[in-house]
Amino acid sequence: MNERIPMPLIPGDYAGLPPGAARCPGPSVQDIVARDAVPAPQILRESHYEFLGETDIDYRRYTSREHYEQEMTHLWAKTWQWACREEHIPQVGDYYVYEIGHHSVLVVRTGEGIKAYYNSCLHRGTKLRPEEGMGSAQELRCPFHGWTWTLEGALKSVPCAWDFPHVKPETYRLPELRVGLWGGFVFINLDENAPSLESYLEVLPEHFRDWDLGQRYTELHMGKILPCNWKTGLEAFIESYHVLETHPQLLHGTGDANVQYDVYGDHVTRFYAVGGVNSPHLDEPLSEQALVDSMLIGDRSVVNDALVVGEGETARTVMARFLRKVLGDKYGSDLSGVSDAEMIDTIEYHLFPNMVLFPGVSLPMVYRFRPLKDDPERCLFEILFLRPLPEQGLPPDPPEMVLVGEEESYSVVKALDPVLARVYDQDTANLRAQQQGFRASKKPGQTLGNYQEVRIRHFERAVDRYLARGFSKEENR
Amino acid sequence: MSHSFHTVFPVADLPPGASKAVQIDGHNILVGNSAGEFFAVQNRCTHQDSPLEGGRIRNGLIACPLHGVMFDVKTGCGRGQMGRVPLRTYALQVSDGQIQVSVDAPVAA
Repeated sequence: MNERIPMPLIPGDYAGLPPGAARCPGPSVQDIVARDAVPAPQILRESHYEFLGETDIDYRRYTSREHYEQEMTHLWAKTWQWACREEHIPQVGDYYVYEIGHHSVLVVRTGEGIKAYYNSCLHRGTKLRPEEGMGSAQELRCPFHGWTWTLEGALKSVPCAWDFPHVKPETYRLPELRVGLWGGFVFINLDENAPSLESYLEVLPEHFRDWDLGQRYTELHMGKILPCNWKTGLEAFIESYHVLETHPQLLHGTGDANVQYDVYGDHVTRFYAVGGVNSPHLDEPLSEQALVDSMLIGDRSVVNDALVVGEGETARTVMARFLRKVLGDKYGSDLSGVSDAEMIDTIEYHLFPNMVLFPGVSLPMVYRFRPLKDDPERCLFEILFLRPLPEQGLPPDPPEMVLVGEEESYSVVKALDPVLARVYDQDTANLRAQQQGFRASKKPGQTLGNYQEVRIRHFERAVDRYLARGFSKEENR
Repeated sequence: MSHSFHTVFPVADLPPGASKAVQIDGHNILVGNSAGEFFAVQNRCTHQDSPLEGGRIRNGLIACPLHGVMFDVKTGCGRGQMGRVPLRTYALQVSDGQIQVSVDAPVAA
């Protein structure tokens, strides 16, 4: 669809445009989607960019312990974060331990609904459940001295109760955190005065009205420890500018430079990358048939020969039609009403602070980036694949997280498409060099593209706002 | 050398997710069904000696009802600081709809 488009190689020229107004030459996402056979929903027919400034972003945000500790206090203890999926805790007694820095939260399915507790015994502080992830129990019994609470948080028994006349059961209930549910995700918030989850999610419920992630199940869960700050890791996954250099193999079939970037409110941004078109950077654009042949990313197990572009058809139409059929069959779901865009495009949302989610059907990922204990220069990067629930029968049990070693390739995960494994290897391979480069630099901060990297600027602005709120509260004390 | 297998329960008594304890030659053994696959392990958690019978079985792991320590029912390997000592596993076979367990046969890998 795109022709080879000449572009300047040397920056420094506003070309008479206001800052942030320049775009990659060639057709926009909106131009391309407007021609689709099965039209995209309204929410994808809109753009919502805003110029947010062009000054550098200070590297100390990614390296300094002081900044990291401020984030722990003023950001992680104040924001809604998803702790687990509802399918991780399907039955009463099932629980999930979620950790963020030194915070540890025990999310429990109880007879009174899902509750979240501070994961610490009220006797002498031992974590009630020492391991992260899924588990199951009919009561919450501390492994140290055996103090025991019901799943609903009431003190049930204390060995040698005669020695604790000062322990009144009514004041020794397990302290709870706030819990919110959206799209099959269980969110928690350590701040009892935080605004509701619903208001925190801003435009997200409206955008996802027809993409009900509650009707998905977790097929695959991978984790990898990255040698970088959690923001360094996250920021590598919310712009598409790096595709040209980092993933040259993806240029066929991805409109990499004419990706659309949108920013909303304080907490939500998205990018929208169309598939089935040539990159404006390719020297020799592919034919529509060759584009189809190059698009087979994400689920190679479904490929067959029925991928011929007919007279007057586009690669996008053919690919969407094909995936609708094979993925519908594979997962037992009716996808006939799903638009071309939702079938084949890469639509990625970021919910502050650390949730990245893709509503699409063929690339159905959720990412999460978490700081690890007290180290500002390490983080845990998790990837989940959420597949449509089968229309009949039960989905499989939610999988345990597969941990890919820090020096290992994602190709060790057997259930992962090797094409995607290579992409994640390429992405994560940059991060140690970047984190170390922050410290090696004479220049004190990073420079961002005004359009393609606006989500990073929006994200860092939200970090600043949380930190500033924390400081102003401290000053008012 | 031949090994003795003891018939313990009919397959029908043990639906997926269920587990039942049985005594064989002084061994306290837990026989369970993990998503359609039968297993036999020692019925005593290596953490603090609680019986494992009735613990939730999911993803090939059984959770000890007392403190939640989890063990792989195939290999016996535990998870985390409290699961450092593995469970003993026992050889199991199904014959004519009956589950049979041996305390002396080698466990298939």
